[in-house]
Amino acid sequence: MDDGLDALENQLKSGLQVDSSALGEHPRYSKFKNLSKAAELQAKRREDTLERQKNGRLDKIMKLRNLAFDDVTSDEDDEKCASKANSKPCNYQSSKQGKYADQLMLSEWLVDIPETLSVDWTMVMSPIGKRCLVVASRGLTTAYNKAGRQVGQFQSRLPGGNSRSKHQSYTIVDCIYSNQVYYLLDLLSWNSHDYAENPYDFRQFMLKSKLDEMPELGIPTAGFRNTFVPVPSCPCSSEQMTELMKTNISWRLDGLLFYHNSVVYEPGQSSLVGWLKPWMLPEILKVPIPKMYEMESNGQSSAQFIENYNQKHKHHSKIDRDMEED
Amino acid sequence: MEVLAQAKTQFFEGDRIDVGLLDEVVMIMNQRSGREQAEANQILMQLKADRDSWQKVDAILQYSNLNESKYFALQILEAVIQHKWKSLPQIQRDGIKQYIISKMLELSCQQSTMEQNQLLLHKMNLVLVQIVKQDWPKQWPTFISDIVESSKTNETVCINNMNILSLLSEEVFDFGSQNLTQAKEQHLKQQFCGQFQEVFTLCVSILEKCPSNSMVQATLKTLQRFLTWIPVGYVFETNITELLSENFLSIEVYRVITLQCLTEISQIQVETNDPSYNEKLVKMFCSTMRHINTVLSLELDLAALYKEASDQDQKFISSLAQFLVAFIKEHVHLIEVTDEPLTDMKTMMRDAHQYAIQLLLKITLIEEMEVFKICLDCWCWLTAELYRISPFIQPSSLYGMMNTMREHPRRMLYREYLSVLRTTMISRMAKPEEVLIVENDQGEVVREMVKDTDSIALYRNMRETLVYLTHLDNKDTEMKMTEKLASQVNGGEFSWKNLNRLCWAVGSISGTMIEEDEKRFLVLVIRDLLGLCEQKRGKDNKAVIASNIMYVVGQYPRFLRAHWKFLKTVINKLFEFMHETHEGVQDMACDTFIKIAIKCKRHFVIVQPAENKPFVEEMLENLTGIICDLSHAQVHVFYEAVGHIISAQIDGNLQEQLIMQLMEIPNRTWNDIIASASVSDSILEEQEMVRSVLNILKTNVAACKSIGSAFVSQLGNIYGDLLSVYKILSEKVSRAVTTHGEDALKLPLVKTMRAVKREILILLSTFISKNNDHKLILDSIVPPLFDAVLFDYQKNVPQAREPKVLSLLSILVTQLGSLLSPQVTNILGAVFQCSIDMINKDMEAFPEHRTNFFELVLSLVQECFSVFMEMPPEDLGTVIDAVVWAFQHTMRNVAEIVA
Repeated sequence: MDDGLDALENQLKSGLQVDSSALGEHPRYSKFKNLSKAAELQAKRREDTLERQKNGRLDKIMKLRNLAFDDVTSDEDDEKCASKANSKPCNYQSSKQGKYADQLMLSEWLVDIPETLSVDWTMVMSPIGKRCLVVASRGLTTAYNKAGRQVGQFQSRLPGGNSRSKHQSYTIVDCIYSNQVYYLLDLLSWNSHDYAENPYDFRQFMLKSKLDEMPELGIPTAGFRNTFVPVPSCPCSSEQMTELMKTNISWRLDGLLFYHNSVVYEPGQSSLVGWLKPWMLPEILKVPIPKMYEMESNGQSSAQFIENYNQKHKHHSKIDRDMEED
Repeated sequence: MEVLAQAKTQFFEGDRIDVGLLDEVVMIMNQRSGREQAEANQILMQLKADRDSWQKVDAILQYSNLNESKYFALQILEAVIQHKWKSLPQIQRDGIKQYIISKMLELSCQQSTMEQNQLLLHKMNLVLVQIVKQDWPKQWPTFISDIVESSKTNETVCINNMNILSLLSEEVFDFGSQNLTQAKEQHLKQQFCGQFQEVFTLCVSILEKCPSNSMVQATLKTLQRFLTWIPVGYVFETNITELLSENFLSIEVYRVITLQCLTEISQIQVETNDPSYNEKLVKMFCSTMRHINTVLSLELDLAALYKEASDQDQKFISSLAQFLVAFIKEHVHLIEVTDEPLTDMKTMMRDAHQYAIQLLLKITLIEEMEVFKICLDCWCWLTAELYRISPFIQPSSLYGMMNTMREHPRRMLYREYLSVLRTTMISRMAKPEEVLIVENDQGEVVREMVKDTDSIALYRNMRETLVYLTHLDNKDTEMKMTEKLASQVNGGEFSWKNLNRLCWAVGSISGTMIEEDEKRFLVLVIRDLLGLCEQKRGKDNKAVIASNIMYVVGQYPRFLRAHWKFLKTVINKLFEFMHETHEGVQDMACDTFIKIAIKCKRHFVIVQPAENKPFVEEMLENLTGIICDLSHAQVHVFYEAVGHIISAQIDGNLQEQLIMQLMEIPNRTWNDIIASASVSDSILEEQEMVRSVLNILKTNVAACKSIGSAFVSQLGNIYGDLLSVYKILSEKVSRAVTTHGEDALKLPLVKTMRAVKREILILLSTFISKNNDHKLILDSIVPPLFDAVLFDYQKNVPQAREPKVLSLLSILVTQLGSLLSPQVTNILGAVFQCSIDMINKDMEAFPEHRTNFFELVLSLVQECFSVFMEMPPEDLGTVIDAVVWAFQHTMRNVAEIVA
């Protein structure tokens, strides 16, 4: 009756994508994706990434330095943005935007449950807010969004981030910003030391100890209105995850991040960082959650139903081309 | 320099001018630069202005060796004739006239001298025409016969005379209204028409005998000027149409000018029903087409040839297009052959008509905008005309072939041509209106609709044509578009430009098909585009295709409204795109979202089938997640869009809840800032804080713009604090200016503070202009507002006064009308004198204050006139003085406000 309108709608839902690696729907909850294939691919990509990280060492330190002192761009960069600015008036920000664009390490849906989840992975509670890269250098602290656009500039106690700090020091952290609080997810550099090349667990350890040394970071004062606070995390054993989910938090939980303990910080989407919505936990990881999170599956029809639906109708759509591409 | 000094005295003292000296001065003027040149220029200007200098003209013309000097002399003469001819004694006038005529004859009697002195001769012609305008017919009744007679003596003289006549024709008929009084113009026109017979006979005899190339050309040129105004009898009751269409088109040099003459003839509005006139027109057209056909066969690829062609040939094509368009628009019904049996005449007409239409289709393909616009004009007219024959929706495909059988014979005639035209229109579709992102004077990034440009006009015309074309045969349009789309998908024609054009074309015909057809068509198009997007690699490609899909979808609100699930998917997809950092995608998503929100707003506030709550609620619950990656400006668009949706909720209580939910995020930050500021207002000296306030205000403005009067609940929440912030910042700005001087206004922090003040005023202006609850405005808004703003305006330093205060006041006055009368004295007391003091020093300073101030005065006069009547006389006097002051402004907008 509806002349293929339903099919069209589904095609629109899943097919129309500018960035083929962008987060769409979780494959498990999407009617038209082959879950097992997706999981297999994710597992494979994880292996590849780990292998690559082990073998190749990118010369990232230079790059980080470049991020922190943003006027030391190469001549080539200058030329590029000059000509761009002339040709496209709407693009006048492009030079800076370009530099900080796509520097954040982003997650994928956690589709395949890694066998070593309980030993090799860490779960992190992620608040609702704006994801941003915070760069403290030359006496100023600046936050950039995913696209590299400057979204805030202020004074902070981060080393390098206020006018009293030493000129040469710089700090780069990966945060979620909400209501004058920066929730620290990851550490790229601290006081001119680069940590991005180190495994995740080490970075977290360093971040925690730095924060312990500077409890004043979390206290707003007249001069430093924005605060930096850690987010709760735990190793991924079911007991610890269950406990963590019971944590009382003052902010709204957006979702859960899963970091592989040996992932180095790399820009772009990483298969070694996973993402789930709170209400998915019971079903995917068999981790019970407090009532309040269950409510949040808003509008989504029951996950069980979808799974049954997929099995019953033998929905084996074409292999997800986007994933195959990698 | 000596020369110049000498010239200075010589030129103005003696009776005679030293022509040699003048030549030198003119040389200096033309060839040197710098101070010398300036001085020479000044001397010449002085000489020109000297009231007796014209008496020296003859000497200059006679003895000078420089053409430039002679030209200069003629300029002097021209000015004299224009301005004080009638005050000269008769004898001198005759002298000048005779002199010019003899000089002219001298120059024009030989081919060689004529060519050498072309410029000079032209100027002389102009001077003569000036004399004629003054003297003819009273003082010089025989002018026409004189000129006709003299033409017969010599060929080159004749050519020059033709030029004079065409100049005269131009002066009187084309530009007459600009530099002649109406009575004079009327008189000259009558005179010209009355004596035209002689001139016409001369022209015709030249054209018949064709004595020489240049003469015929000159005659044709002159004739073209005449054709716009001569009595129709000369055209249709003589053999001129035959002459033109039979004799000159085959010769290349005459082609363009002949076509221009024919174009003029086609455009003559014939008022009689005389069949012989029509017969003439038909014959003229058929013979023209026959001649053109020998030059331009339909096999040729005109578009390709045009690119390579010489200027002359390009001009030929363009004149040809103009002729075809002119004739078709005026007389196409004369040449359409729709009935059997075919006589010889009819066969000829049919052939000419078919050839003409096909030729025009070929010309339409040429990639030259001006030529294309000429053709488009015709197609737009023709399709509209055909549509109007029977403007009914065609029965859909059910009837199949039957349909064609019953079609109107005129439509039948054009059927296949229009089909070709469809392809052309689709593949050349112009760019529709779009949003531009630009930086404004205050350095903020703002979005602007492109208004009223040439390209938008082009889009509108093309859309109109396509819409008519679709009405005439929607099946064919659909087929053509589908074919084009297929060639995009299979890669044959894929390019961003082609795809854009196709999608603009698809978008432009929204609403022309019946709903069922439209749905089928749209599903097909979108499916193919989606397929294309999946198939193409690379973010750039995908982003372009996605934008095009969203453009098409946004153009079809009827379809969206009828299919909720699809609409919801589209919106969710747009939300997804709002996180996509690839250049332009977020902007596209926001623009499409607001477009759809405006057109389908009601559908987001009702509970749709298979949903448990209105979609807007779902949207607001996830608000943070949706907008977290957008830039400030994009967030404002988003808020405006949601505002539109909320405005569709008619239940006041529900609406208020939605507004509160929407404004929750900015309100939270606002409250925090206000709370800290109430402890110490030094927080408002932090750049980051002030910027954040500015952003919150802009978000409020965006929402208020679309929500309208219901925004009162939100405004009520922040109103008091809003005015406090205004006062505090205003004080800070003033203090900065008093301590650091005017330069303080250039500090970034102060700039942002002023931007906040301005934004507060904009928010209130927006709200007041959208709200019709006068009592509420008068009782709750006005008193605190005047308290905070008026007094502040007055005591501020002039440079820091916000011109927006004045425009806010005029909005208030216009909205409340006489209700505000009791307050007028207050308003004037606060803003009048201090504004006047800012702008009465000169005509330029504080332009924005200036216009806004006079607009305020205007609205006061319109709405609260009685107040002025009750004023003490001296106050009224100041008001009137102010208005008089405005009259004297050279700034156009200011003077216009007052007028």
